Amino acid sequence: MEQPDALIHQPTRLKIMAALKPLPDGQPIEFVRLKGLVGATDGNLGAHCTTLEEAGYVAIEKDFVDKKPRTRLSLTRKGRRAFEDYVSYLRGVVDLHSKK
Amino acid sequence: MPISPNEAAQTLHEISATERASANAHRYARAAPHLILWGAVWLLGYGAGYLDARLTVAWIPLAIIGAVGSGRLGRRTGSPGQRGGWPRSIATAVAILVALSALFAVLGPLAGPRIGAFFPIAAGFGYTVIGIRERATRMIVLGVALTALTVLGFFWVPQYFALWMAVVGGVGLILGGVWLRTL
Repeated sequence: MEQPDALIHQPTRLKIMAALKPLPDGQPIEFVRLKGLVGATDGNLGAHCTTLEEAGYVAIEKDFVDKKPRTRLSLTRKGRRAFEDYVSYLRGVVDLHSKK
Repeated sequence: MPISPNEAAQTLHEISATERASANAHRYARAAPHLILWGAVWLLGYGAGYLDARLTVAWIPLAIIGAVGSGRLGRRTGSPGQRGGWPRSIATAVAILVALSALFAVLGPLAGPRIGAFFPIAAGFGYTVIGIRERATRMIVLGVALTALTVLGFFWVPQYFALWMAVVGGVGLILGGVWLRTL
């Protein structure tokens, strides 16, 4: 990867991906909890989540619990791989600099 | 859009911080219902023992309810790969029983406040170790508080120790579980 993935490189989307990464495979996180971790507003977070969903990086599930709407997100395999590639790219940049 | 080494290092640092916060939030969300369940068990068990020493037998059904409840919670909140791990849960329970039996065989029979203090101190130690290993600050706070309050009650109000553990230990665990859910 010569360039960082522009989709992930955006600060809010980067935080979303980083927050989803430690969850066990397929385990979703609730939108409300994600909002607390990312520190974004509902609208801003929703827009970035949709962008990541359209890229196939996250899966969004919507359902009702006790008649209240619930939105949950999880990282897809494609998203996990893309994020790992992105982190490898960053490590590569840092390593290259430290070797000079 | 190449990025500078400084920016890359800064971004890696931010990723690491967010991953740790998310992992802890996930861990706390999984631990919270267990703490609330065992807080209720302690409240009833120690409370019954305080009201009438003969009611300490209530610990047997309460411990079974707690263990089965924890198993069910673990199945519900665990990741898909961890679900269905009954053999591992049973093996863990057997290992704990064997270790406790060996410990009590060596130490001799414990009774009253001593046995009442043993399990909370062991639980507090467990939370503290998990917190240190996983860099989960709230688990450390809970573990240290549980141990300190148990020791305090044991020496300060030995005659009311069961009541102390029912209120401070039981309610404390319930509040601790609620506190973990707030993250």
